[in-house]
Amino acid sequence: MFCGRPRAVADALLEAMGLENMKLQTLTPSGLSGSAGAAGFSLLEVTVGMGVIGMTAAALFSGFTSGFFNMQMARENLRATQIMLEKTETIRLYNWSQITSNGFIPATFTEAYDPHASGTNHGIVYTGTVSIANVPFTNSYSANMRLITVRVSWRTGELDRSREFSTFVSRDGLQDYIF
Amino acid sequence: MDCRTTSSKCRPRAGFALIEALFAIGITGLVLAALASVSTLSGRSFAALGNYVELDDKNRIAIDTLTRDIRGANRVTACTTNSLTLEDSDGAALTYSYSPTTMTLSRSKSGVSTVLLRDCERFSFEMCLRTPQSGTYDLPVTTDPSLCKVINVSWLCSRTILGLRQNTESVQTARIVIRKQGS
Repeated sequence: MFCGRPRAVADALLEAMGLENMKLQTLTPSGLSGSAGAAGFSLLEVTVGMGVIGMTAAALFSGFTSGFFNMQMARENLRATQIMLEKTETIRLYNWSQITSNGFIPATFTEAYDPHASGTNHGIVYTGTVSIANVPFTNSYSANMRLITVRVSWRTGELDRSREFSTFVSRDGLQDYIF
Repeated sequence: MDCRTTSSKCRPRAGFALIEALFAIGITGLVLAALASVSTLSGRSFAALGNYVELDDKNRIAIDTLTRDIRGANRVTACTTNSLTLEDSDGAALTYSYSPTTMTLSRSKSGVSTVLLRDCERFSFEMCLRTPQSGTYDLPVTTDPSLCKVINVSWLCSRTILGLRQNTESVQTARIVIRKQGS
């Protein structure tokens, strides 16, 4: 009778379904030593599994580290661009004699990442130079022009970085344009 | 041999010993703690990266809009630390106002108001003259809008993740020269 032999019924059903391997193992009186199907993971499987998990975790965290580093570089790069633009905007206000007189425009400057932060934590420091040179071409009006180059340098971690911005300035140019 | 549950001769199936159960619970706890910490750190990292990208995007749009408006304005008509009113190139009034309570920067013109910045912790406008000084890049500050040629603006926007502000703040400063206004 099925109802009297549930184990036999289950085995028969598994056999009919082609799942003989899933039959319940019979425990021997001496314990589990005779049942090969109840074996857990082998040492090799565990080692490989841990290796895969470790590599995945390492890839995940190296991705985060790289992402944060790139984010910091982008943030500092944006601030460097703002500093260069501020200096370039100021150059619009100088007249020709101020541009050509030696020392009126400071040749160096320093700026902080966050100059308006409270306390002393203003972030990294940018050091900059402003050079005023003759234009790199010769024609009838080249004596009335100057090449101004603003350069900003800073360090991201152990990495030295710099950006440069150049513009031409002419006598009777934008500075004298008043609406 | 078959093990019939009705037979009194069969030994009962072995369960877990107390020490085995304790080890299993301990190992499960360690695995769950590791998973929870990895999930938390990953979630915070993703949130920080996403916040920065969004802040950077909004701030760039705001600084571009502000720069374009100030450069092209006819003149400054009023300015305080939290507010700037310009006469736009079409003659209409254009106002930027910062609200410390709602931490937003709004742009208003012809009855249309748009919020340019949110989560703005700090904001300031400053008016300067057009007279550079020898040996410095600093410009003289003025409180008279009719003499203003340069606007200095700076702000700081930030987001928090579980109460921490790390890696989720954006600092912007700009010096903008009004192209038209002279004197």
